[in-house]
Amino acid sequence: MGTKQEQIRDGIKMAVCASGGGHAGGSLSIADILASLYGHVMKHNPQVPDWKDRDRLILSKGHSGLALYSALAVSGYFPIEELKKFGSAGARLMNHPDSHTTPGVEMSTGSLGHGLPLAVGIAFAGQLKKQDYFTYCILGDGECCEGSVWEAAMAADAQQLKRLVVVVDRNGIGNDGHLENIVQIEPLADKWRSFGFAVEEVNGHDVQAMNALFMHQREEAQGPYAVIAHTVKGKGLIETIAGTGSSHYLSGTQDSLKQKFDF
Amino acid sequence: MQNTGKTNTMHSQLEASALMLEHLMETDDSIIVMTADLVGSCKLSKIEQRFPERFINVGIAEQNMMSIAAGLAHEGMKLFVHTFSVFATLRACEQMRTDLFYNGANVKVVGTHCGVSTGPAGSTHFSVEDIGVVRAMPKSTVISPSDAPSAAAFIQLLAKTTEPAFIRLDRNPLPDIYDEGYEAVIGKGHILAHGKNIAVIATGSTVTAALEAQKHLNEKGGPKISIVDMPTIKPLDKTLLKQLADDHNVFITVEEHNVYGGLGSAVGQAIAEMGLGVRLHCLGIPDCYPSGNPVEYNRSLLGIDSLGIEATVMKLQ
Repeated sequence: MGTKQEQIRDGIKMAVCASGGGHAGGSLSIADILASLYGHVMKHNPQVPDWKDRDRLILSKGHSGLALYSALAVSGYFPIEELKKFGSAGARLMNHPDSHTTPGVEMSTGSLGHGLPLAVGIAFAGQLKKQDYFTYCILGDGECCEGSVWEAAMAADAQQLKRLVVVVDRNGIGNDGHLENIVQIEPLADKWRSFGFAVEEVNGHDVQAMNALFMHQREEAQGPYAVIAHTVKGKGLIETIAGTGSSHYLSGTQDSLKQKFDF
Repeated sequence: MQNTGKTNTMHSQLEASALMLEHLMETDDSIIVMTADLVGSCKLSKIEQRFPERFINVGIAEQNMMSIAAGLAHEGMKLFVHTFSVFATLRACEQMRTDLFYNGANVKVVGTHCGVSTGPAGSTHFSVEDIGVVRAMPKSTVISPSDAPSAAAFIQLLAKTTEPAFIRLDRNPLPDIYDEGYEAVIGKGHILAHGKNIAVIATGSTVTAALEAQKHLNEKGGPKISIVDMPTIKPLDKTLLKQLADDHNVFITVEEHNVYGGLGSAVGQAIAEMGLGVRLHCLGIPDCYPSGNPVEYNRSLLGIDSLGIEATVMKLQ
């Protein structure tokens, strides 16, 4: 069976190889974050996906839907075998998550810069209705170039959303390669801090460390929180691809794709 | 429901809508009103004062407003978001399309200051593409009421529906066409004057102009034309268009919107789809960026005032 993180990675690999490709890089960089959230941190019920007291997760970097699908399948929302249908005609698992078709997907995402304001609205509703669920929002670091991210950050601070957690997948690489060659987003932690967030940096592949951090936040509930998760894009791909722009989207035959995974 | 005795009474669509929302919020605590730094302009001050916990001003951040609203709606709240129509539909266009209509979030977008109703403000503040933009979004509803009582009635109706919708409102007071008994129905047009051969189909502020044109034509013994108010552009009242085609051979559409993409385009598509064989003439913004000007002067320049409509009728009769 393996650990939760291994199962999620296996699911991503299964989907990519069976379908002939996908956004492997960004999916593999958040696999361990999702392993922590779905495996240890979040209250959720695969049998009742819309359970009203569940914690909410918005995958703002919707192109990493593969990782979310794998995490949901491993958690029991739908059969793991369905991952093999990823991207195929008539399937419900496409590149970007669709909440209309896929159980466990909170809201449809894919266009970058939308997820945090959606999460702000969800967290604010919880506050209004005096529900104690947490709202998690996973952003890409490249996505932080979108102005709407910072509009939402201001709103989260203004509304004092104590149960909102933003996780930034700091893998350093966008569609066009190294982010820092295109735009300077550092000092990223200071930026979030200056927008009123309590900021922590963590190794985004250390599930134990993330478990401890997220659980501490839940006990404290003094957000909004920003967690900058340092990750490797394409973590688990072979050395020549992992951590490079080539990992962003893989395509090829089943055999050639299998050879790109180092597990 | 049509007002016959108070046609000179002017009321603001914005004030009437805000008053209706305030009234609805008294008994429905799931309604949340939002704006983007336009409390006064959108006539929301009273709501802000009375219901501070259910009023959110996000600052000048329209995209943010749309998406936060979608998040709130996801949790069962009923959202009414307000900003100038140009900013709602163009600045936050993708958020409307993806977060509202695609996600099916129960958010009502109140696009204020539509058309050229901001007068001297100029084209940066004119909203002459909004109908076309939202109409092209799948699963959208586009409402363009012609006076204050009907605007309030549509707000009341929208508080009961669960799907997202867009309603565009004029900045300035408009003459009452209906009384407070107006019954809002999505997808239904109204024949306000019966004539033959030529039917003027108008929406929003131009309905008043069309009625004035018809009255003037009657007074001078001109052609007897029909006047139709089309408060819903999508879905369009095709049944009414088919009925009109029985004894009219010319439709003139009038709107404070570009001639491409709005009411005229919708009516033209319906005529062709149903094979009605009616000639169509579209009055609206003639594919230009109008200069800032006093409102009525601009409407005159653009040919969408009563004189412009009257001249078009005489040319086509």
